[in-house]
Amino acid sequence: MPHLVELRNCRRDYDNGRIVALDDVSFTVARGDFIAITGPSGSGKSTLLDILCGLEEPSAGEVLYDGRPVRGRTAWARLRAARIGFVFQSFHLIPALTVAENIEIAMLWQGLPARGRASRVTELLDRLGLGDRRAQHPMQLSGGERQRVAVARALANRPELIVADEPTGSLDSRSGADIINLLEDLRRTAAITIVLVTHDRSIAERCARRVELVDGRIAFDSAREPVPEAHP
Amino acid sequence: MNLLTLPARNLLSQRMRSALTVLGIAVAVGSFIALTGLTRGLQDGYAQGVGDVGGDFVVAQRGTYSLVSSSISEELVERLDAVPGVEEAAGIILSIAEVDDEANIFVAGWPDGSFLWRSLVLEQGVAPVGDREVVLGRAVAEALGKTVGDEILIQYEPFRVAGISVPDSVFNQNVAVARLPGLQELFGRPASVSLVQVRLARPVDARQAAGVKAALASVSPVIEVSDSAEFAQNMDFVKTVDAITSAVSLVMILASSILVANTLLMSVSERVQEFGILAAIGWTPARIRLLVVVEGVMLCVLGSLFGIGLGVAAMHLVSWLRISAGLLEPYLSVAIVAEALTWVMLIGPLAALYPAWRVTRAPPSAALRGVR
Repeated sequence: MPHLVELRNCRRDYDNGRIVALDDVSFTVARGDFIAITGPSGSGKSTLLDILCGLEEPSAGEVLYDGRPVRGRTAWARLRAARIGFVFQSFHLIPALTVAENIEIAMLWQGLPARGRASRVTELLDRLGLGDRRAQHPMQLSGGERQRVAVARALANRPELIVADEPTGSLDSRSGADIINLLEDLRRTAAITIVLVTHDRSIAERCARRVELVDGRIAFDSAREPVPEAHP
Repeated sequence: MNLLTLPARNLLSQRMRSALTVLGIAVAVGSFIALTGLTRGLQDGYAQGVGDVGGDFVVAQRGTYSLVSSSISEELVERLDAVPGVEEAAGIILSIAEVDDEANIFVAGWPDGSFLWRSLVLEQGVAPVGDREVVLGRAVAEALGKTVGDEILIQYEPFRVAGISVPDSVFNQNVAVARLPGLQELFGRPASVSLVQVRLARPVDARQAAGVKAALASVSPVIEVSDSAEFAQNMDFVKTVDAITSAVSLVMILASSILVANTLLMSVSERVQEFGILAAIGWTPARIRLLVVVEGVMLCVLGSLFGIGLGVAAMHLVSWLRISAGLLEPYLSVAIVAEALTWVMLIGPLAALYPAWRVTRAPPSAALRGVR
């Protein structure tokens, strides 16, 4: 069975190769993985995540999803819509839309009738404890609530992979812990593969697999070697 | 939620900017409708005016720029009158004259005893007897505040209002009619007329009419013969006005499309992250571009709706002004509105294409960080 996602010798550089964000990285994500990508600032964590889900295309190398190479923005957009959910550090909700609409917008082009979309939105809001917030706008919510809306949006199209970039970075410790518990729960109950970028060592330790990047290269992958005890 | 919800919210979130853009489009559409409508009204009015005085054909000087500048000798009128099948050929003076030192109206001079006088339906007073008497159409009489017995200055010469007429055509309601000799003297055109109204012998048969038309045209190479509708369409000055108004209208619509492009460019520049979010959750570049184009179309639709009202109001305002009394009449048709809407709905969305393309130029990861 092919890996869910595979990066083959991916390089991402900018400014005609002067700045290298990712350097010849090969990396696989298996179904059911719960991966934490760590590393110092500027190590290429977010670039790796972006390339993993087509938000950015590699300067060299290729990305395979389910064993098939994916190229072009349209192909990636269709793939993301159907199979990948996102959670960002700064929530990235659309301020002009209500909570319900921010979730529904992810389903707009998925062929679901309006009634089906509304029912899915209600289901997700109830599941995430946001039932009484559906008509409010993002600015009226707390940070933790906004991130739960973002998680609901990520789940809207029943993805097999959730990609989270510092999902707790803008939250207090309690809200952050809630979000991580939620992601763990999703992985366990809905068999969703999760890849997250974090600076927080305690969050990374809760993940089944840890990958550390340094200077655009994978310095450590717990899938290949045991976790070093004194590793920062 | 549907494809219209998001663009509508975006436009509402920038109310003032959207309103100003809608106003700009409305002014362009309104100008198109008003200018085109007034020009077509002028054309239509001429056709009706020439047609409802009882003539079947109009003879004018060939290649003349306007009916005012057409000149035909009275000797030629007599030759036209002698063409078999012609009941009567009546040479007339038709000119635009300044009245009471403030407005311009059409003034017609008709020959004594011609069939033209039989078409005159008087509401008050009598037909002119002296050379310095006129019958005013009701509309021009009302616009100038004149009644029977009043004095009116035509080209600085005093005339007495002998009667008020109620012709069928709007054009003729705005014409002052006097005896031909008086106007020939006033305009310094002895023994010459502007046009010849030709009435065919009754009953008129279409084939016979065509034969008479050809015979009239063969009387002199310096004339052209047309029916009233052809006459109005073929007048070079109407064509010129039509061309100018079309050009001005299109320039305004083009300018409004630049306004749409500018508004959308500003809007998409401010919402780069939002488009990054849409890309991240799976909106394809084509769908994101469609979203921007829909915003442009919404602006154009709203602007067009207001523009139609504005155009109609402007036409009535211009025709109501004393300075244009009798010259410009409102004329609104589905064709004019459709023409204006076609241009706006064609050019507006085209103007949205560049901002739409800009939106999807950067990769989603850069858009999410707000990089343009």
